[in-house]
Amino acid sequence: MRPRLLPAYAGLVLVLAGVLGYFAVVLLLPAWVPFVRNHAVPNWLLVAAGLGLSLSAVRRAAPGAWMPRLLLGVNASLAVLFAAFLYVMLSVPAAGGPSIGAAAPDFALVDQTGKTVRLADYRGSPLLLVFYRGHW
Amino acid sequence: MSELQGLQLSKAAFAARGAKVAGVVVDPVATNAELARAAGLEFPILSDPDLRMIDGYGLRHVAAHDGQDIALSASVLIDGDGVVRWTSVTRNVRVRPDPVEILAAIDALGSAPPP
Repeated sequence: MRPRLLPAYAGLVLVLAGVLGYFAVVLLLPAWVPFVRNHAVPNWLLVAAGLGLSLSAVRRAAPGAWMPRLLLGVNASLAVLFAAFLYVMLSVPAAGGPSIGAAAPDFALVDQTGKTVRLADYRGSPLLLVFYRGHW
Repeated sequence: MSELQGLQLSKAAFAARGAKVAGVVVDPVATNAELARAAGLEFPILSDPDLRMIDGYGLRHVAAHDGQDIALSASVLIDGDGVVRWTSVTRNVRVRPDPVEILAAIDALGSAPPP
């Protein structure tokens, strides 16, 4: 590998680390780092640094050198796909949920032990209801 | 479901405030029992396969998973008088409220009058 190409390859490594790192964190440590799951800030910093290195490599490349341009294109494509995944594919329809200040709708459902649980069971204590999509 | 594990990790902080937690999902009881065992969840997970409670709270997500209706990811804080005091309904499945944000909402119950 020629030394002049090092920044271009380093850019690819950073972008891949940012994108793949997001999935690794979400799959392996989702409960411990909710700020990464929610905002992906460290991942976007890595992607931005990678794109910067790629752009720098293209500017410094010899006329006609195609590899830095190819890697910049790959990195930009990865960044666009990452953004599309995070902000478009995972979006869901808007829903208001219950109104603040309204009486909570009553319920009586069975928990994982087979016991029937009712809203009235929680009278006197704050209750956080967590609606979630499924066990997967 | 990772939000449930995050809440489990914050168990002591919820207990210190006298607050309870319950999950709600369309999954059957047996699936919830296995999840609770595998993830070490100590709070109730309520099975709502007919989406009656989910509909009551206006949180149905139509044809969201393999064509089946499920719940939107959402958190609803109810005070000791049964009044809804805080909600968080996600517009993106990866974004759920941080336990720190939820605990702040619980703390605010004592300082703000009901709306």
